[in-house]
Amino acid sequence: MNNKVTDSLSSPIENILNKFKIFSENGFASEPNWLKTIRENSLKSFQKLGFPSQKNEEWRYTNINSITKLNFETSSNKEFLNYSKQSIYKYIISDSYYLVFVNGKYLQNLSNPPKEEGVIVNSIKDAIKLFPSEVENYFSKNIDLEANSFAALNTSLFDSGVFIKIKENVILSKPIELIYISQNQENIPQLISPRNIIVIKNNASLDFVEQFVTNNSNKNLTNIFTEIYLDENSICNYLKIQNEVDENYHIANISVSQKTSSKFFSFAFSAGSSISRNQMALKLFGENSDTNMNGLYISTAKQLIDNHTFIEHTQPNCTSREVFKGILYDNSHSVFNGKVYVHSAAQKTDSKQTNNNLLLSDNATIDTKPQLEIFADDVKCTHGGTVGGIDANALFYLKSRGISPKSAEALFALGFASAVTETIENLNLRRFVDNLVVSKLEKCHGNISLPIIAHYH
Amino acid sequence: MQTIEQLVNKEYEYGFVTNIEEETIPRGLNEDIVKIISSKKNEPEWMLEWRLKAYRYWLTMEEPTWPNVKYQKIDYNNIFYYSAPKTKPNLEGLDQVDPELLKTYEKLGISLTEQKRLTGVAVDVIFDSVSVATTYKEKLNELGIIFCSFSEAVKDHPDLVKKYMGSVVPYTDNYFATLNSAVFSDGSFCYIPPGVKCPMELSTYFRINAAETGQFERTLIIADKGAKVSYLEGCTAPIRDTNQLHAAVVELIALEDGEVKYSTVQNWYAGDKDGKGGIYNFVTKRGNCAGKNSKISWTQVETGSAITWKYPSVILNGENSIGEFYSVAVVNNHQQADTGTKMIHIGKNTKSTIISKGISAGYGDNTYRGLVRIGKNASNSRNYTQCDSMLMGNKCSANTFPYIEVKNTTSNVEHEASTSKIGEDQIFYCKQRGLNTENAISMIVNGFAKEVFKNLPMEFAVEAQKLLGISLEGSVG
Repeated sequence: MNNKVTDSLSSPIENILNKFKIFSENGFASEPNWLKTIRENSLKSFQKLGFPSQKNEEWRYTNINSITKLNFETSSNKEFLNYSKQSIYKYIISDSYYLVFVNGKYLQNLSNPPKEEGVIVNSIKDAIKLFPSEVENYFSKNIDLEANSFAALNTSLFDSGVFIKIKENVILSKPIELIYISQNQENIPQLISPRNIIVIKNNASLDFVEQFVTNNSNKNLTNIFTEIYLDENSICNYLKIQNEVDENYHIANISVSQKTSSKFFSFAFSAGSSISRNQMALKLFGENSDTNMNGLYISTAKQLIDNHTFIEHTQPNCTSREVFKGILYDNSHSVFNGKVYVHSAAQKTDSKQTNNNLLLSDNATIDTKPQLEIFADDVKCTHGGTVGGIDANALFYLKSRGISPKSAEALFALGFASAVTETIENLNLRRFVDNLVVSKLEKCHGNISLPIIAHYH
Repeated sequence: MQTIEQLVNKEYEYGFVTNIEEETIPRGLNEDIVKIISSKKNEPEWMLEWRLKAYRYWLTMEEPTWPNVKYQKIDYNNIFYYSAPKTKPNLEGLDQVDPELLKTYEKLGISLTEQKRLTGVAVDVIFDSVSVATTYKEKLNELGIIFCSFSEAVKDHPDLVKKYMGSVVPYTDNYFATLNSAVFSDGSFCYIPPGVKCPMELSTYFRINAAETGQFERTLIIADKGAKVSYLEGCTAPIRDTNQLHAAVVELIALEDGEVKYSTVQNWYAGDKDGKGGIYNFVTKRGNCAGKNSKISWTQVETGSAITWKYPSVILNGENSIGEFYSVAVVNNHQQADTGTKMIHIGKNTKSTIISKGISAGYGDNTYRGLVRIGKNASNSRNYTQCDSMLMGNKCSANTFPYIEVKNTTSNVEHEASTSKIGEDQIFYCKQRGLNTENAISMIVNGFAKEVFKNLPMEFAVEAQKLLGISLEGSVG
């Protein structure tokens, strides 16, 4: 009877422990033992680590106090009936398969999952029931749950997400898009914990999109963990779009494992949430693999956007390329932290990392930390970082051609951004991101209209 | 590449011990020790107060663990905090210096004797905890330049010391700087009056001789309005099995139009091939460009020490002020270096340049760690950073950890880093032109570090190049 009172007095972490107790007595009870053990251990890790503070070097620039103060509810069994095809149309990338989730819950009637041969798409819960050993093989294989508190939190509580497997030699014809809609539930902040596992077998190929959006203002925290496993000679193009409204919170862990001769290309577009952070950890396990990790962040108002990337070369003859660009407005704060780690066995590593920032407000702050840790001698590794405003000469050039100062600035920003968005290979995906960029910039530069980017040949 | 390994496997040539009677105080650290050090130096009351404040603050601090270096915990109560040659008081000239000491510096190639006056460098010589000699004092005096040991400055120029000591590195700054503030033994003090350009290089030579002592010296250099000075620092220590702690503090202040150039060739004993012994070099160096158009420039060649951990920094307060950092850090065997700089841009139109070259060989760990911070009001500021690393062998590491924090739109920050090895094609190219392998490597390494060397004063540059060759001996194979 006193539940309500104790609830409001208990700390957010105790609140999470309570949630876990309830779950483990209900939903998790039927799960296989290995998973129960991992969940319990992860909870213990999370209890031990707590929410990271700025004393933690990895979180030095990222203050998440506002998250740690919230008493989250975890997604209930609520039905979401207020969605129509119409209302989600704008999120669908043309010519793609898509799965729609609201606060983590799968909306089957709005989704269009792939029905092609050689592709398995299941909810993670079904996958655990149907082929538990397969899930176990690909579960938390490339992450240290004892050191990563949000991944540990996700692992202990996840109750949604998908398991996708592309079988040997299958090349999927269309991208698979996961659309995550975050919705206000009676003004109670929700903790949404999806877990995705993507497996691409030998010689297979997949274009895969995760898009995060909101339909109304809320203070939800999306704490997602996506694991991607690339087998030999496989290819994965991964696009992440983070475009939630400004009030909510987004923390994502993305862990990628690459085997011999595999190719991974990722693009992370971040423009949403009051605090959003991507933690991408990629490990090159096989020789001759290739990685491209690119991204663009545009922060406005009081947003904090943080991209943490970690590329680990463990084998010889691998290549990694990384380009992250950022545009900062208003009182926003962006953080980039990229680390490339080359093990002593990873000879002939070729690695390049770049982070460029365009600072467009004196109240905005950029903290960038490109890092190299190298233990092999026969390597070519470079990184570079720049921060600057708009070049006065470039601005003058545009103005002298009759373009208003506002538009000139916007054009400059657009040129800056499209130099990295054009690395997205799939034209439909690129066009989708470009449109988001254009409308964001139009808003940021005082509702001007920008020309449509014309680099589709 | 066999030949390189055989290449003059020269030992650390400064590793000898001078047999001289030394006066030490008991081991350990407590308020009494601080008081003894202060009384040994006949310090005024205010100096002791300052030391005690620092000591009490130090007790509340914890040893930092964030650097990328590994070492056994230091037992701060097992160190001698003061050790000095038993000399006659009040040295008048060099003829009164213990001949044993003169011989030591003769051996180290430092010109103490008057006949070597022609080298044109004024030297303040620190032997363990005290300054034993300062040359060219009178000549500098004529220009109004004060160049003396820190202890003398405390006695003779208390106003200047009071005004500037701790103004750049406060006694609360960090664990090792605070420890230094409590127990610092001696060091150099230098004041260049307004408008004076110091006609010769000023120099401090630090020598650790006694065993199990820590060396804690403090250097304070002030360039008043329009003054200019170039300052050199050199260091050596005997070969010993145990690690010795060196925790120094250097403060530079440049007022309006003032300019300080500080060059270091650090060659403390680095430990043997297996990483036994060597100096822990935990140093706080910081400069304050306090006035308009002032300039502070750090150049360092770090070849010695078992562990080097320092970040010579510049706080760019004055408008149009300039900060520079040029560094070559070499690690071989089991040496570890975590070094770099901080450029804090506060004033408008401030500029900073960072050039860092790291060379790793053997089992060495080399880390560049640097911070560039552009404050909100530092309009039109500019930073350029370049850190290059070279690896020899795959047991060593090269790490780059730059931190860039910008809050101003009209500023420009650029950071570039690269890691590479000496290419077989490069060596082939040199050999084709008649160079043998060792000369080819020495040439390539020197070319790699040239940008930094060219910022060193002449004599130092030559020595630094030689040093580089020696440090890397036997590392390419």
